[in-house]
Amino acid sequence: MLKAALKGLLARKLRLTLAGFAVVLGVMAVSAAMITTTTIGSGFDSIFASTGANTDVSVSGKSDVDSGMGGRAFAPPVPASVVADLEDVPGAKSVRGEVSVDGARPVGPDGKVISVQGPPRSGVAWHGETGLVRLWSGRGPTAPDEVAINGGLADRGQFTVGEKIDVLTLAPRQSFTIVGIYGYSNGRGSMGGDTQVAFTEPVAQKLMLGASDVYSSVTVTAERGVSRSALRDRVAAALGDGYTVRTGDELAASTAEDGKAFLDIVRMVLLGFSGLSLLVGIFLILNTFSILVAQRTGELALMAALGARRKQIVGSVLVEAAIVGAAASVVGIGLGLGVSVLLTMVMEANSGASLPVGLTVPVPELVLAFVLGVVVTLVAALVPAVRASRVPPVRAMRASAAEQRSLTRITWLGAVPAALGVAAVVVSLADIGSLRWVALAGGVVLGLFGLALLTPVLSRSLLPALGRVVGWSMPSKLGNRNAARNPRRTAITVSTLVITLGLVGGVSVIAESMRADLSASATRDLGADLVISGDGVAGRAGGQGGGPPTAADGRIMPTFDASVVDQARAVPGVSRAVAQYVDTVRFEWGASPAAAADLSQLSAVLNLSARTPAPGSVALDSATLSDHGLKVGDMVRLATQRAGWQEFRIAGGYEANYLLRGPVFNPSDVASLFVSAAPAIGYVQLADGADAATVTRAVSRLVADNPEVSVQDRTQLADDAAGQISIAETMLYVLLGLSVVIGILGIINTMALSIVERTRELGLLRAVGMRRSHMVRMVVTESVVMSLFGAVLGLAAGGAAGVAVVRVLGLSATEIPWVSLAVFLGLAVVAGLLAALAPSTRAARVNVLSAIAYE
Amino acid sequence: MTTTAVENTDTLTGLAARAVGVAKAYGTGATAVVALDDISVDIRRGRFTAIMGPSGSGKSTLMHALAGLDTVDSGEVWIGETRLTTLSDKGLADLRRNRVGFVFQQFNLLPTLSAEENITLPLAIAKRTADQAWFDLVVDAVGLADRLTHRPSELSGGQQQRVACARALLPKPDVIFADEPTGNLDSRSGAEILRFLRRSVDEFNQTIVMVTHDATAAAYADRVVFLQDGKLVHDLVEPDADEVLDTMKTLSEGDS
Ligand SMILES: Nc1ncnc2c1ncn2[C@@H]1O[C@H](COP(=O)(O)OP(=O)(O)O)[C@@H](O)[C@H]1O
Ligand SMILES: [Mg+2]
Repeated sequence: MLKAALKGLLARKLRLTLAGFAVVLGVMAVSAAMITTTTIGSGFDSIFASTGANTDVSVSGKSDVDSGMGGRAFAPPVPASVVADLEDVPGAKSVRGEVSVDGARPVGPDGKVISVQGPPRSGVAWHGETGLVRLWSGRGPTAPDEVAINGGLADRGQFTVGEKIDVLTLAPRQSFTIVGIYGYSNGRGSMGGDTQVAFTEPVAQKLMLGASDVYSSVTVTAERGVSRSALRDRVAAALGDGYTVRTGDELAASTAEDGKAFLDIVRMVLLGFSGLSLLVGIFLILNTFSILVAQRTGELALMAALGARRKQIVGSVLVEAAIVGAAASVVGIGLGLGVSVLLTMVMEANSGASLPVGLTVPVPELVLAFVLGVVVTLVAALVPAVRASRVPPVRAMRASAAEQRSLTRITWLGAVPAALGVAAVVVSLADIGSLRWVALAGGVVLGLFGLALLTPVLSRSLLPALGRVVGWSMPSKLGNRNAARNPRRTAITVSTLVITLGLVGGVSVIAESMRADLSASATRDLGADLVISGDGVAGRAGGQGGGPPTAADGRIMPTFDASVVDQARAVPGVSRAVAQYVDTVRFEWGASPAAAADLSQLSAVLNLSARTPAPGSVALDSATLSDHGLKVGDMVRLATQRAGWQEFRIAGGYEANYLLRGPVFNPSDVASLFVSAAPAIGYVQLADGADAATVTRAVSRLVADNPEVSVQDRTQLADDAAGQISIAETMLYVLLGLSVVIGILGIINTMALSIVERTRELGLLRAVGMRRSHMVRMVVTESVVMSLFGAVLGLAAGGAAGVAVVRVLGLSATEIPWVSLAVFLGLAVVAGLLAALAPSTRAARVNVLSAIAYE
Repeated sequence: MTTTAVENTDTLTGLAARAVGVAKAYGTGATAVVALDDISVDIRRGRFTAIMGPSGSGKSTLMHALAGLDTVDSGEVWIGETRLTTLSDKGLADLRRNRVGFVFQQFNLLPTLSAEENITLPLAIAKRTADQAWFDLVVDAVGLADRLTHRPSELSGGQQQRVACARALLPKPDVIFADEPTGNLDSRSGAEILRFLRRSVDEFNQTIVMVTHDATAAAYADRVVFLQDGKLVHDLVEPDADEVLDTMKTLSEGDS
């Protein structure tokens, strides 16, 4: 049996290669994900291992405001008095307050802020060449206007000792003289790609923590004979609940974890792609083996007639599948190694992390990837194998044309879930509270399932119509008939395209509607003519970005000097200028965006009506009030980043809008509650008859020295907000583009197999006078009609689901992006053309004589 | 004896097809098989010619050469006034579509097309339409008027061959080539096909070349040429079945 299987394999190399290709891609992505993340991860571990060496125990403030969005939350500073308290702890040899906080943004030589993706841009207090730090040149800062910088920053900005450097911190831009450049005891100039600016301690406290006599953490070293964990427990006992106390090793591990956070995204993207490839791989293999088995019906029936048992026939097909799966997995892992090398190089170049060279290969994971590839192949081959074993021996005598099975059963099987799914979606459109999402999700899943089973029967009615669009000539007609010939095979072939374009259709409808909704809300809710803010900040201040308001890089909130707003108010032609401070707070039920502003003034520019709360009290939006059974006059508990949990009196309510949501504080509370005491947004209203361009120029001059902040008018703000969605949408399309490639592979695969299967027909067509060009047109039509069918089905189903999502989301507009949808259809045609290239060439080359020859 | 069979009673313009000194071998060196060995044959218009010979004698090869389905090593092949040996692939395809009809032993039809669509296939490829009266006449002659919408899988073997005959006849080609058209049929269905071919020649003045190894089938022809080992060995005019059988016998005796 094994020998027969091997022989069969060699005879069908090409076809099996095509089928195995999707498995190769899937395994490649899995192993690349594993190898890359392990390699970079272990690189980070080895870099940060040294950071814990000089710290026995570290104490830092405990953040009460965890946005739940990952990333580094601002930890409340530790008061200097803690240092004195800890000196009395038995076993503590020395205690030192440290300042090391993310958020010192250096301005590069090009006038733009130096940005790093992932690692922090720390501002630290200089303590001399202690612990890890080693001066490379110059000296440490001793005056308030002096800094030392790490080698990583010196490299990125081409800074040398004696030069000036501008740094943005909690305070506006300030200029310093570089007096020293330092590296670390492990010989590197940067820890995993970070940049550091070392100030004198008082300056660091002021700029990085926003207060004097506070530290971001306190480091304790142990006396000889006292273990780190024992000291940690004693320190924790001495300080009580309000602090995070960790040993040096725990600190190093968590710093390395922070550094590696971006690896999760890489892993997710790669594993997502891999899942898609393997899913499609299943279809491809299922299809290939089905066709191969159909072609071999005679042979298999003969085997059965000669007394081979069912098990043996199933076995022979499965052995073939196992060999294909194993080969594909090995190739996939090999390619995965290659991809990892590239990815690691790219990521290192981007982050400047300069990791230890070489790949770390996680063997158990790769074994898993291999097994996965083989199992997927086997599972996919099982159905055709079992079907092969059921071939009755008499079939040996009949022609091998694939038999037509009735579609009645599969149609009923699909119609029921499809109908239920549609019903559930319709129900979700009615106002049934939080059940709406359950109904929608259930409806979409059921609908998809039903659609998959209905695809064969839909192909019967849709393909002829599509074929008429594609072409009328005889070759086109033949191609169209061929596409409709085996509905099940067509359904499997186009399944990838249906899924992919379904996602594309849904996403495009949702994104377009969200953009329309955003632009509409931004213009409706914004009464101001100009907005001063950092990139993307204003668009997120109302929590519309999905998370708490932060800058575009997700961590540092760009701010500007409060005096900018006062100066703007004085610009001729300006009737009103209001500052808004932005931060994140936490209620007992979750995180929320928060603001502080002169609310009476802010109301005027945001088309609201509300009064400014007195210091120590808040105004809350009415949605939050009603959702949590609160009313004006009640007390509400909430945690701010700087002050932690406190009770506030609810002084008033307002209608939340696109730009404002959550608690609004009195501006005088900002310094004690918010991370940054500087405003993040400024609204400027023009006087009647003022020249917008002149005023814009004047206001822009006020923030000209701040590279993170710009002045936008209302349309720019709306576009900016919509732009966030477009970025996400584009990224998704790129990912889906990859799966279209696999969809094309699926079509090529089926077409190639069909052409081999139909050699005799092709020969006949040549004999009765079809030119080569006719043959090409016939095959191209088949391919294009199939991909169009998949695209129409996917876009229609996905678009419908998208509309339902938009309705359930309660967006103000349902926009169907007809132009984009038409473009996607066009791309499907291109995909069909590409898929037809090789098969049509092959069909055109069919030799008439060998095709019509019979034994 | 004679290796040429040129009937000198007619001029060249009365010829539907001819082969002049055609030779073809498969393979090279010691394993080479000479399939056609310097064959010259004229096919007269409006005549039913049968090519006979034992299996492997080169009948199919000769027919393929005459029909422009296959190349030859040397010699010339003509359909009417057109020399096939110099035509491009495209030219040959157009020639097959417009001026030559085929009936093969089996697998004559496209399973995705109805009987009617199969019959009109060559015309459709050429973007021509059949004259309705002529179409009706042909369909009536093969007795398929009530089967036109059926797919090949819904037709019997005999019916399928009749569809193939109708398809070959409809474009009024210079020649219809039929390679053992009754080889896969029972004798009754086979007789129907042969009667139809005979009638096409008699009533519609169609030229037909039929390859067969069946003496009864050959007896329907106006003329029978005999092949042996790639050579033309005998030529009978208006024979009956007994004459054909006798010739076959003589040839195989002479062979042994
Ligand atoms: N494609 C081919 N390759 C090699 N030899 C061939 C091929 N086709 C035919 N032959 C050989 O050429 C000779 C004539 O074949 P053919 O014309 O098919 O004979 P017939 O139709 O009279 O049975 C035979 O010996 C046959 O084996
Ligand atoms: Mg033959």
